[in-house]
Amino acid sequence: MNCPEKPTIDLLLDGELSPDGATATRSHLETCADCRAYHDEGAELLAMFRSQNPNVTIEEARFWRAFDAELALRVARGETPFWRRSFVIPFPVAAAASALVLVLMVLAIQDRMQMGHLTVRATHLEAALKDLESRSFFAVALPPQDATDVAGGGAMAMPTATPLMYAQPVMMRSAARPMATPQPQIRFIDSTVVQPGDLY
Amino acid sequence: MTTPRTAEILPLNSAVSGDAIVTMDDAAIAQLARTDRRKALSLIVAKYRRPLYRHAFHMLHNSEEAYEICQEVFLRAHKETRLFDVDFHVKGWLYRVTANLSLKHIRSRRVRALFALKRPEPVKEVTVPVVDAIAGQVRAEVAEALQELPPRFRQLVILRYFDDLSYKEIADAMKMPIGSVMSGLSRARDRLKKLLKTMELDP
Repeated sequence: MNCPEKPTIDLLLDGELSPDGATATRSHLETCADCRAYHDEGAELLAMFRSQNPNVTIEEARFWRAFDAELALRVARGETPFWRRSFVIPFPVAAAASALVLVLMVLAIQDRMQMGHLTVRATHLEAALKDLESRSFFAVALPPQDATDVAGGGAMAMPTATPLMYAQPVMMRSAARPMATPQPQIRFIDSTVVQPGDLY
Repeated sequence: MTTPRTAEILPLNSAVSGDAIVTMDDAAIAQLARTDRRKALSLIVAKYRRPLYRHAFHMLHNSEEAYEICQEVFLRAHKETRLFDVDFHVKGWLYRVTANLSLKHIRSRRVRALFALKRPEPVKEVTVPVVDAIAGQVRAEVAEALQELPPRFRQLVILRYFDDLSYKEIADAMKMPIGSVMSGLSRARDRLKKLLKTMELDP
């Protein structure tokens, strides 16, 4: 449909044109094949909607009497329209839906917090370890260079007592120990050595 | 549309008296409301119940739901204090409430199906007398195609071709710009044509 008169044909079909406009458009139809085809298609469609005006039957009349009676009853009762359950999402559903939303929100936030926690642990492991060391007599296993601490034995691989023990606590020889190593390492029982940065 | 807007009046003493189709215009009814509001309301109900029921039915294709919506609309009409005010467009208001309720019901139908709280609502076999009359006016393929249209398009088609509202009346009733009515109807018609074609090829 290429002719720009398409909207006018729509108006003609819907009886929205003035008598003059209709006449003008009809004469256009005589010359424009495109519009004629479009018009005929449209008219065919509209013909499908056309209905005969039936007489009101007795059955239908009874139906409407019942309708009126029910309406009168509801009006007399002063029924409030809004609370008809068939039109409202049932309250339990709405409540469940909002509860679900809340739960999801809490989970999402919690998840974030935990992730943050892990992130904190990974990136601040070094600082955390240092803090731990200075505050307690436990020490994280040191790299082999610190041979001064031979008797500590923590640097040596220990037999796997239980699989749950990852970092072997070591008795510090002395409280004041130079932190010579710039990169504290964690030595696991199975002898894998890990840098803090590797953990995550 | 060339279908006459006034319908025949049945004589009041006939077997179906009390169901005379009202041809009084809304202004006259509003005038009557000043002295007898109850009578005016009952005239409004008698005048519009069938068209509004038909609108809801074509939207939902379910006689019970259409009935409920129709009751709901008139319940609200009874509570609407402005109904007979001088500048109040009763017809537009009635159609707007019906159209909005029908649309809302279609949407909530999908939600309810999602939650499976009520048994699913298939297209019911029509048994109600008025629906026989209404449904009988519409060809089966048209009814089917209507149900396939997106709800907004369906609404426009029904307002124009079943309720016989003019573009302006639709624009006023639905509070839409008249340009949207025109373009919406055009697109709805195109979609309907396509649907009917595919149904023809694959019944």
